[in-house]
Amino acid sequence: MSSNSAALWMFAGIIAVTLGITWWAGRRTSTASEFWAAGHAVTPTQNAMAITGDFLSASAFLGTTGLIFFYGFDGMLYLLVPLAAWIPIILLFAERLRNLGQFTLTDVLVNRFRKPVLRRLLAGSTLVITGVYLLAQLVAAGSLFQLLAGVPFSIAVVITAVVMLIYVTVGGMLATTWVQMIKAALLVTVLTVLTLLTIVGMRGGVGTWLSSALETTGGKNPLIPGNLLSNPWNSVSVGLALLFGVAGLPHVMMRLFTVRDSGAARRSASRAIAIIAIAEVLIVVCGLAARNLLGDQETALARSGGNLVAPKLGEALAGGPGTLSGALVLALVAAVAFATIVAVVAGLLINAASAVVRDLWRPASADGDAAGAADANGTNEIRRARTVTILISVVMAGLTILVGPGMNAALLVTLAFGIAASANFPTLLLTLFWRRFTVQGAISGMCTGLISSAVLLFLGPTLWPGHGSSPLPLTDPTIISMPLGFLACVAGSLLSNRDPADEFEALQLKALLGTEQTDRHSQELVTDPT
Amino acid sequence: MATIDPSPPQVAAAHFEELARDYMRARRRLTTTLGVVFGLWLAGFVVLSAILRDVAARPIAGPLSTGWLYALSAFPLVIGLTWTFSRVSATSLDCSRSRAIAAANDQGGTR
Repeated sequence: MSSNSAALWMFAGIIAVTLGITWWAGRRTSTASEFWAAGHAVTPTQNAMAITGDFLSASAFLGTTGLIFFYGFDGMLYLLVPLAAWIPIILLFAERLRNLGQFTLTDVLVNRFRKPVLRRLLAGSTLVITGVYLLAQLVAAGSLFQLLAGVPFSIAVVITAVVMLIYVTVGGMLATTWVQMIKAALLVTVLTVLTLLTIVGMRGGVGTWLSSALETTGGKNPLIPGNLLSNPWNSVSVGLALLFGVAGLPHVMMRLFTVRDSGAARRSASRAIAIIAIAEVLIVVCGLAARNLLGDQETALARSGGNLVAPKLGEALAGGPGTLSGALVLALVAAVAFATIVAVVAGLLINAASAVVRDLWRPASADGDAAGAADANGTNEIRRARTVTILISVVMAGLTILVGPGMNAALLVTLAFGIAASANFPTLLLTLFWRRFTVQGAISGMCTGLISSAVLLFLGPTLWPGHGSSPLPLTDPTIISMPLGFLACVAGSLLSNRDPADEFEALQLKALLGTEQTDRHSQELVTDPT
Repeated sequence: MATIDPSPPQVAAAHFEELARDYMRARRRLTTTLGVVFGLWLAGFVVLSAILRDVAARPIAGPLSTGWLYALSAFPLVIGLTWTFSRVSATSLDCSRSRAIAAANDQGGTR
């Protein structure tokens, strides 16, 4: 059996199982709450698995393994900093977001500032972030299919888009949650298998293995920071994007709304951190194992942007090219990577659809109550969501085919993190923690963060369309755009008057105590804050 | 049969206010402590990866360099901080939060 046919059978198996789940979930999804947030009935452990499935995307599994293989220490940065980003999330955001939001991040903002314009702005920034992130996942999916099935890149992208479309339109958040849980379990299993094969294949002990993995190759010393991010400012900038971008990633934060209450949100996040940490340790081992085994294939692997290092490592560990075991493990790794991608794109797609349907398409109502009353169980909303999902899938598949397979998924995802850190993070943080923050501050901060990060990206070497060197030497401009976002938030707030209806103390109480009963009492604290 | 709450509404409101503030203070203390530990680690990582790159490249434990060891310490640190926060939240903060919520519910006058 060739690796191509084995991989295709495994792909088919994963898709069949997940489509079965989607059909099951579809029968249980009839209201808007069930469609967008699985009825808030996901348990903390299930949600932790789903968060892992949502968070560890193709960029983490395929992209980062490739980056550690090529660049050593700098690759670690792309793995560790997003993990560390969960500390601010669990300390500052997880419980507060669940207490203040229903389905999307915009609910949190609107809870404090009852202005429809904020809903639309945050929805716009959500669409941009989700779009870039989706692009990364679809590029990785196309590369994988090309390798394994010999299918052209464009066909592979279309197949992935159709699968994600079915998950979301039929099963909503419940199907997405289960697909992400299955993917997380498969991913941890396959990483464990690769690690065990690495340990079995070690010759001369761990010290020798490590020494060999960390040897200088191709003029690059993997111990030294700067192989990928030679400019130190660039290192800091990428670090900022990865550290603060996660809290601004709407599709990841949306998962916190699927559980019953804030305690469950906290437990979800803490369990997810443990699972993600374990998976990332295994990814580090795989990256180092690849340095040991695939050093002679560096040039060939570079053509895929490093996205194929993990599948090729599986093949090498299980006997090498031309062996049945090698073909089977290559197929297994590729099939799990494919599952990884479809799980993440399903989460991204439902998030993008929620931004359009709940925040852009709804009638002009500050908190959506009027619209909600007219469509009590959300039948029309679900219908709109399905239409929007189809449109987004078509647009994203077209864009991915235009971009082509040469981009590294981890680098593309970093761009999305940068936009999230510049546009969403400052607004979200100041909404929750700064009494003097105003609507004008939120609007100016979001617009400045979004526009500056997009413009600076095009001025940097990654997306510079002109000839010669780019005007900005930073591949990631977050070190400039995030402070600009904060500055605009602060300036906008200080130059405007605080809305007398802004009940910051009440919001703080609701964010932490989280019960409707506290609403009345928090009013008393507002009038008498001593 | 409904029982009459012995405390007048103002006393109950003050009680709720006090409990809520206690809870928020305790939570802020915990968050700040863990945040400072995390911030210090992060500052060290930034210094090693962006400024003192030669120090980061210096092998100190077999083939592993200072930078690699420091980076790998993120795993136990993140798990440790998360565990501490979850543990203290579950054993202490959640109780104090529940007391505040109960006081808010009791404030109606009748139960």
